[in-house]
Amino acid sequence: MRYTFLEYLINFLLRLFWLIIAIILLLGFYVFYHDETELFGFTFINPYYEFIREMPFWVYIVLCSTVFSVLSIFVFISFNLYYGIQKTRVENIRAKYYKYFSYLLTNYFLSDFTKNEDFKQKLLFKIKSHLKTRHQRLAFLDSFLRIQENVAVNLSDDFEHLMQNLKIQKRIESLIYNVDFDDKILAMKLLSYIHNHSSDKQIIKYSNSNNFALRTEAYASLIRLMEKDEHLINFIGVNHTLSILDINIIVNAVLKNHKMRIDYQALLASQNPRKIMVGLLLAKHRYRRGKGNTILIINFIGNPILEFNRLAWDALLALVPEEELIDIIIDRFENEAEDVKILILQNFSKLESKRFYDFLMRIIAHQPLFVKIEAMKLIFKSDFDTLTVLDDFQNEELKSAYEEVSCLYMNN
Amino acid sequence: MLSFYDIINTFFLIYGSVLFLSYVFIAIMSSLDLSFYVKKSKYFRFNTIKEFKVLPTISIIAPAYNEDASIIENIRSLLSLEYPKVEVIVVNDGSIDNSLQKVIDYYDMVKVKYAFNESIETAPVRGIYKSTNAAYSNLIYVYKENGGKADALNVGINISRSDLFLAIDVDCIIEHDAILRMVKPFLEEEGNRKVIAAGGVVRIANSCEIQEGRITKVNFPKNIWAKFQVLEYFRAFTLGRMAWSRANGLLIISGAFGLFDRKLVLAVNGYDRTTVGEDFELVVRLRKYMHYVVKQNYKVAFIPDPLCWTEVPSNFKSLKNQRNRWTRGSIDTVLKHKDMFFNPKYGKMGFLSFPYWVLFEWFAPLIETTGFIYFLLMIIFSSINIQIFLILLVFVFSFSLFFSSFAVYYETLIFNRYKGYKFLFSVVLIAMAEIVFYHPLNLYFALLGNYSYFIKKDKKGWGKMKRTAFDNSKNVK
Repeated sequence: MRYTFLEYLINFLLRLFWLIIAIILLLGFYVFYHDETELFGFTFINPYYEFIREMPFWVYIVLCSTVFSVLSIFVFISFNLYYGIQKTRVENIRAKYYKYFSYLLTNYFLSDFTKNEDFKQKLLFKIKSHLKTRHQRLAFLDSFLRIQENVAVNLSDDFEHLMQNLKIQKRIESLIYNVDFDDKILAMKLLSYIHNHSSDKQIIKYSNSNNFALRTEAYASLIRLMEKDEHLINFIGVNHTLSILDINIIVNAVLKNHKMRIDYQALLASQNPRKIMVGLLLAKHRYRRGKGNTILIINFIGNPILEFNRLAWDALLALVPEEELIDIIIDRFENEAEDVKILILQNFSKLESKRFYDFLMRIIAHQPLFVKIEAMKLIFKSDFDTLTVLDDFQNEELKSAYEEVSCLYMNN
Repeated sequence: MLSFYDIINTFFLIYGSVLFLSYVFIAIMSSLDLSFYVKKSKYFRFNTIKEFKVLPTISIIAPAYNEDASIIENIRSLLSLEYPKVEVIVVNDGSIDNSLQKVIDYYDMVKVKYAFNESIETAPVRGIYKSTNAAYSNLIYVYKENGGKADALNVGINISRSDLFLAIDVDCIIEHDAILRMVKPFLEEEGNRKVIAAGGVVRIANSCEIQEGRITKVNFPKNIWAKFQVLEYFRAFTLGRMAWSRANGLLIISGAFGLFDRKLVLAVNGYDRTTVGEDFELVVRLRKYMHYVVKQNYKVAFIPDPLCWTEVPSNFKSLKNQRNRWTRGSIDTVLKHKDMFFNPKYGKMGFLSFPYWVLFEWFAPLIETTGFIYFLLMIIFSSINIQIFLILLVFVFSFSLFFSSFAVYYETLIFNRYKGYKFLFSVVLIAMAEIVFYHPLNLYFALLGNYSYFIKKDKKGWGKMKRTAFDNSKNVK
């Protein structure tokens, strides 16, 4: 908590500083408009009063704005100079240490060579001596995150062990209470990757935050932290609508989490449309092919909400063997939106039954241009000779579709 | 009773006050939004978007006219942009140079019969080309009869089969992760608030070092005209558009770089071919459509990251033509949609952003010139209060410098692309010179634009800008 307190104290002092500046400016505005001002026992006599007295009030405001602008110019130029140098320095430090830590951590996590205790101690020493400043520590933590986010291996135990040895765990835990939400995001990521449950309550609180960036990261962190994915339904999108970004991040976090006990039923039966989308996406990627329990997904086929319908078809096409799907497709195809029709045809890989071939020929005759094209592609993939059957056209659209498909196939 | 002079003076005072207050408002709004954006993006790995399961498909549409010198490199640069579901549609707008043959030869293109609906009326398409090389399977090259930039973009929209399209100038240099960043606002859509378009920051590539279609070192331009424009772009993009985006009042997305919802653009019949301000006009029309027809909450998003680098005019004549065109485009769009002016039907756009554009973008040069003439007359009639005049003059100068220094400060604080004392020293000098030298010229260009539009009735002329193509070898020291 010491670090959090310091952080809040610095933030408070900074705000106090700006408040004092604002008060000084307002005081200046007041005292220079009056002949004499008494403040805390001091009397201030305005030397410019004679000059100001004759001005209309609006001119005085303009004069003050001019003074403010001139002062601001100097302030911003000085800030610019300072931050320009500081930012360049920090960027260099971060880049340098990021490379350095990435090299050390990659060795530490992924190389057998480092399993040697002596080597580990040397490595610890190397890291420890470069964790003195905030920028160094952030570079270190960021290096770990980047490695963890790029590999499928779970590095949490090794990293937790490393942090205990480096004694920086408290600092990470304190980051979650920081004023700046980027620090909170970093802390949530780290704590969730190392399965540290000390701040679960705080993360749950952030999952209801009005700040969508914080909320999204809180969802992903909770997924990484929870023991069973069946709890997913309880914390995603409780008080806020899930965005497509949220949905993607949630789904990817679950898929990377390697836990299989997802309560599809709860997700798909939810009243929240976005939770249903999560359910459909997870179903597509997590259900085992041929498991047969696709009835929940089929319920969403033909749903008036296009997103559900599309995702349901997508899941179904990924899960059910094509030969079993033909009946459903023939039965439902006509009523689907054009986008969905294209999706169905694009996801179908081969054409074996005569019934389906006849169905595609019907599509070619009656459906919109882009559906025609996809149907033709499917036929041509399986049986190039059917080109000749389609060679005589009265319909312009049919001709155009035929020309595209035949042309692309002949040229590739 | 107020005299004639009092009325005129009061008008100028109120107009000026509102204008300066709006700048303060812009500074505050943009600083809040920039700070939020930086924090939210700090630990977000944009490349993870590539692994997302639900992503819109995107077409990059790049109109090209006589780009013989750089077309191969430009296409290569577009093909290298990171995004999993992207196709590149380059529309040759009836070039009379050798660019068509060059592209065919280099990318192994063959003419194909590519089906598309002519949803938007355009000049005839002479041929669509696709590559026989699988590495370029997502490249479509279209050769059409000349019809202007808007027409070429419309052809691209007709041909595209994607959810979104990115309209760009083919000669711009785009950051490799630009699409990943631009698509994020579309993914962040919350509730019923639809993101209809997103714009990005355009930066100036003059004097920058370029290698293989990428900016490798950002330099402050050596050319004086480009220097002025760097400062101008800082204010316009880093502050102005960011603030308007936060207020959801953004009316313009740069024609050089903007991502749009394709179905919506088709619904409003694409870009307007009859104006030279087609980028501005499209955004206004899209907003109008959302207000009036769809009646759904929507947002035009803006990304403050410098994602697109372009060459700006580096001589007086090119600059004059460009500004003249911009002014004519603005006037044309404003007049086409004049029904929105203070119209409650269009909500914030009708009451705030559109009137602001009319009063402080279009009218500002006219009012400033009128004020200057009025001031000269007052001098002749000896009715000037020298003291007040000097105070106002110093205020205007100091406020302009303050606003510029604020823009430069934020640029450094957040992006820090221009580095060193030399840059700071130069930019301060440029900011001072701008007030006495560049600003009056801009005023002159804007007046010329009004003159061309209303007196010469020139609404569609593009003028000419001599570009020095981004030849990599030339730009690398």
